[in-house]
Amino acid sequence: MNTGVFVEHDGKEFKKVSLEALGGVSKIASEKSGKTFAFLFGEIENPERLLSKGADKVYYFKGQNLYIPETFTKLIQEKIESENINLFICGSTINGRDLAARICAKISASFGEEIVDFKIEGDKVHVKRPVFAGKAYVWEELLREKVVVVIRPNVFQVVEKEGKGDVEEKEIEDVDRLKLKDLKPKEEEEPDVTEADIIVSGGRGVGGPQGFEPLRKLARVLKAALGASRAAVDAGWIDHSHQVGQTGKTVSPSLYIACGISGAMQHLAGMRTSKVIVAINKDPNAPIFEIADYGIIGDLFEIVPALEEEIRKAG
Amino acid sequence: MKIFVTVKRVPDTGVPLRVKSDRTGIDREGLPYVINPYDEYATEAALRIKEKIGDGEVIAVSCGTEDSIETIRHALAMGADRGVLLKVNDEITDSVQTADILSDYLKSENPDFILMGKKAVDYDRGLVPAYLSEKLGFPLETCVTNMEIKDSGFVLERETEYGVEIIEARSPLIISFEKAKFEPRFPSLRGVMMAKKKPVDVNEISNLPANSTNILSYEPPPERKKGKIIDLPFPDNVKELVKLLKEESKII
Ligand SMILES: Cc1cc2nc3c(=O)[nH]c(=O)nc-3n(C[C@H](O)[C@H](O)[C@H](O)COP(=O)(O)OP(=O)(O)OC[C@H]3O[C@@H](n4cnc5c(N)ncnc54)[C@H](O)[C@@H]3O)c2cc1C
Ligand SMILES: Nc1ncnc2c1ncn2[C@@H]1O[C@H](COP(=O)(O)O)[C@@H](O)[C@H]1O
Repeated sequence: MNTGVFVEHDGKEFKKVSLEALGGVSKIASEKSGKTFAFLFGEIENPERLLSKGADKVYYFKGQNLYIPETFTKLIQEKIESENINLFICGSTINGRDLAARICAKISASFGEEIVDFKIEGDKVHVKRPVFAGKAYVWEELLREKVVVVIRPNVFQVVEKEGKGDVEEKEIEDVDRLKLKDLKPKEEEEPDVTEADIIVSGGRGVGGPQGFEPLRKLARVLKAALGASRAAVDAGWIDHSHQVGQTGKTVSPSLYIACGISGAMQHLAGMRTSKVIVAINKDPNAPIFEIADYGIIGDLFEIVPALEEEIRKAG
Repeated sequence: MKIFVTVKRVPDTGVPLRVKSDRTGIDREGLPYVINPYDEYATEAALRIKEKIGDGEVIAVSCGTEDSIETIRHALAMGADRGVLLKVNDEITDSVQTADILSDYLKSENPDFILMGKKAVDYDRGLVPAYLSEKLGFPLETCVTNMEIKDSGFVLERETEYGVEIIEARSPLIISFEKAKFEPRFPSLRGVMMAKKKPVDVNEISNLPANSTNILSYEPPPERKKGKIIDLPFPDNVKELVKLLKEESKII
């Protein structure tokens, strides 16, 4: 079974979830004796780094660092045909999910969205994935000959291996998406919640935009990303890109610290698979305590700075 | 101008769900249903296009059982002009089947716009917009977070991990909406009354297209053990927490 992987990057580093896609799922595929092709677009130094992460060959399409879905789809489709790729994988990012769906439709494949497990039974791919915003999981048999899957971050392992193979470089010529007028880069370079290993998250309990400051400080000491509930986002205290939950990001970090978040169903949908959950809330009956591994009942404006201090001391 | 908006009936996300004991599905007994939340943004966007342009028709389409008429009525109560139900006997769980049914219908309707949600929050796929785009040969912009209507066309915003893309667009076009910067309107009482009189066509779908996936079993999510409340006075509770994170769960 030959595998193709869409590898995303920010111009410097590869996205972790793309490397997880290369490592995790491709490994199962290569046990079924096949090659793994990495698809790289834009401009990044040392694309051959991917050869030690599980790629047997890198198709490097050089151009501006912009997402051009129609062009990417077309270029990948050609290789899916010429290299006889049956399994195509993207990491779960906005563009990864977009591209996966487009390729799936283009080649009439079966689709496995946001998978957390994967196996091959006979000649069929089976995937496990959350449905109903994580309130249930299904095992799904993908019936078509070609399949496209999207993997959830922090589930599959990045691999290190001896790099063999080559990088084939080509300039992107026809750019279909001239309608893309501008890309306003992020104002602040903050870690992305979907990739963070630790998340410090604030809700209505932080009381206002300044209320996020103690959380931001704690996040800095922990090298964590800053998350938020929808109540905090809707109040305009923090940007939507931080929102965790059903209409925000789905995250599964090693540690999720929920501060002043009640734990509504739609919030839990985005973070319930975190390995360890800490809740800080002044209401002992807040539902968040039902799923937290450790809870502290108290005022976050007292607890969070003390926690920062204590972690700083502990080094 | 013909503006189609696709709406799906989904279980209300604010209530718990149970997997049936034989693992063949979820227990739907007594479950409250709502319009797919992302489809509400799409409906709002459709109404804004019509209002700005000053003419045109907003048509709410749903594929589902008879019950989906309720969902169509919600869009009508918000202000859509009429509804179309592509009626099937049992709920479809395969997005490709749904996309085939929708595209068969839409291809003879000459839409200018098809506005959709980025995904249906039941089976959480986000596949139908791409399939429709492919089948109808319409360009597609997904996960749009804002829309501005200018005389020359539309300016869409799409937020990714790298920043905000600004996209100029014109019809024909399929747009799928993320939670947007604008809020969907609540149906007014008058809107609800009027919705009862607006026409809803029912098209029976007799031949189901082939499915692309087959759900083998359902599982409840992994149980989370209820953890401990660190019941110590401040600041000992904080010290204890750090100790537990270090020594018990070995995270920091
Ligand atoms: C379709 C739909 C989609 C949704 N999607 C999302 C989503 O993606 N993400 C999301 O989060 N929500 C989502 N929601 C909203 C969700 O239902 C809740 O309204 C929201 O999560 C509540 O946010 P909160 O916990 O911050 O606020 P609240 O529920 O108001 O809780 C605030 C908490 O802070 C505590 N508190 C207050 N002051 C302090 C203090 N000084 N110290 C300590 N604790 C304090 C309170 O005790 C309380 O428990 C969605 C809702 C719908 C209908
Ligand atoms: N049965 C359906 N009827 C009408 N629209 C649907 C249906 N299923 C999906 N859609 C539309 O397609 C979007 C994406 O759905 P999906 O790809 O199934 O996650 C939804 O937000 C709806 O706008």
